Amino acid sequence: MFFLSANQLSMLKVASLETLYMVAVTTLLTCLLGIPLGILLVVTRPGHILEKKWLYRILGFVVNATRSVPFPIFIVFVIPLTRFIVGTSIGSTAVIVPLTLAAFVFMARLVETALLEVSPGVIEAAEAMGASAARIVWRVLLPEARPGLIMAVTITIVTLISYSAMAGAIGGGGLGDLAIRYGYQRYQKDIMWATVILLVVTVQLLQNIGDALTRKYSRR
Amino acid sequence: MSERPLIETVKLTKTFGQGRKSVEVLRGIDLAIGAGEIFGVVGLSGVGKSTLIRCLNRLEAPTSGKIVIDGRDVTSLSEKELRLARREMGMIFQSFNLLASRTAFDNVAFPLEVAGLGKKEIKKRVRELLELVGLSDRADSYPRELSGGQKQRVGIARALANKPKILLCDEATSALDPQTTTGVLELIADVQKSLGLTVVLITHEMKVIVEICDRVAVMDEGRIVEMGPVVEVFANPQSPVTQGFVEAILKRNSRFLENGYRPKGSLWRLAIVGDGVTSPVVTDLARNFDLEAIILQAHVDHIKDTPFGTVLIDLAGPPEKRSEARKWLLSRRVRVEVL
Ligand SMILES: Nc1ncnc2c1ncn2[C@@H]1O[C@H](COP(=O)(O)OP(=O)(O)OP(=O)(O)O)[C@@H](O)[C@H]1O
Ligand SMILES: [Mg+2]
Repeated sequence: MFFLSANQLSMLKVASLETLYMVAVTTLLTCLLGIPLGILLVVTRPGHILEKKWLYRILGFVVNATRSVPFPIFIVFVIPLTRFIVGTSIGSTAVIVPLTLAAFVFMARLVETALLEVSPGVIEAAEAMGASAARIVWRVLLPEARPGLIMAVTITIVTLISYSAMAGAIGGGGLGDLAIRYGYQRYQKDIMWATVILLVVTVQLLQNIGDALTRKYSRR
Repeated sequence: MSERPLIETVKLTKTFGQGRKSVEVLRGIDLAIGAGEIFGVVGLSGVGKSTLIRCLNRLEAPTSGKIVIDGRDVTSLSEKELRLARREMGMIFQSFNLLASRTAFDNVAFPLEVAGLGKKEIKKRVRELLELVGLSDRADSYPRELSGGQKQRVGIARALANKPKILLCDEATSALDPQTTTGVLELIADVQKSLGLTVVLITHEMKVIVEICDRVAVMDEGRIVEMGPVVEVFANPQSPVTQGFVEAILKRNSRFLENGYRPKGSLWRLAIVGDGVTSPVVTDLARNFDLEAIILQAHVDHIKDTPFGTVLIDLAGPPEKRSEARKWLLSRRVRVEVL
């Protein structure tokens, strides 16, 4: 099909590892921040177990504001913060900062949606048994929403792979960057096809794993 | 009913919302429920029954009034005290509210985990409970693999896990077919007796009240309009709402009247409570007053353990005789309704 030179192959390998690095670290951080924020968006809403109207409003506003900034602009916007955390605003590691910040609010909304699917009656039953709010979150909300949460993580990873392509803009490298620089700007169609196929296969695989896990834990 | 009620509400009110959009759902509820009784609350949809029962375990905070349970004012409890108090009250729901992600066994284990029991104790207790509700063989089934009746049995086992004194039932059988309903009601009555529970049960079906309740309160628009032993309320309903509920039960088999039956005299429906059911009321009636009585329908039911008979007769004869007959019936505590 394609005949990639040894040089091209090694570029592809490096780019794959860069993407893997960015996506893996960002996914971890995004889950660490996004799941708690998603939980907060649910439990602080009016009528829920830890109702806090002002907090709910503030969180909602911040999430919406963050989500409304286009990602390339967002990267530039957070450069000072990136520099502060990573020490530089260029490279794969530097990309992780804007990527995480943009992704975790996105994920928080997905988590929120998944948790809202949990029947209010079940939560109420737990309250009636004298369960504390923490127990309700850990033992009722999260386990009951597990299929939805797996979906949320899957969607987040897939989105991160595609967003990480924009990392090229600040020298982050990765597969998307490779495709743009060699495939688009230097007309090396082979390498463009190879990266696209690699990405398509990866995303398909991830989605299939996500779907299978969702099915496995779906008890409705 | 014992001297001091186990559950008492005093001038309980609940208003949802504020200002112009507010709805006054409970408008001063005074209840006294004794230890060991099955107390029913019946009312049409939206009159505030669920709100009332949810106030008892403070799933809903009352707007004003007092709720005293076992001598303690639950309206003034702190969060933590409330959580502990709730463990002494089990609750079952119309939609069962089981955790879909847990098996029947693990659903029953949940309140025990909340109470902080060890794994071994939990295992033992859950086994006992599943045995009690007759579901030992379904321990490993997930809720979606269970029928409605089985789900409610799991719900009952779960509600009884921490050995509560009180069982609150919010429309516990409304999602079940009549046969399953009877089964679940029998289970509730059984555990009530064997565990000495106090049961508060709300429903929109008089049938449920009649099957297991000792006393009943009839609710309408946030108020209790009638209250008393089920037999009395049923035999002699005062308010239009209560009459409606009683009618609904009595009328259920009288369709043939609508299909063009032509009475010779006037149609009476007699309601006989207690031992009178076995006395020859209709025969005496015809004989003593020289009337012709055609029995169109007769039916003996039970209100909990009290027999309750209804007889539909076509009574022909002179009007004065009939009015005398009516007085005689009333003197024998037979309720007469002229259709
Ligand atoms: N959280 C709430 N906020 C506002 N209104 C409420 C709330 N909960 C209940 N209501 C209103 O209170 C009224 C009584 O509700 P409730 O659920 O107590 O009725 P119910 O007698 O149990 O009816 P049903 O037989 O249909 O269950 C209804 O008009 C309902 O709309
Ligand atoms: Mg209700």
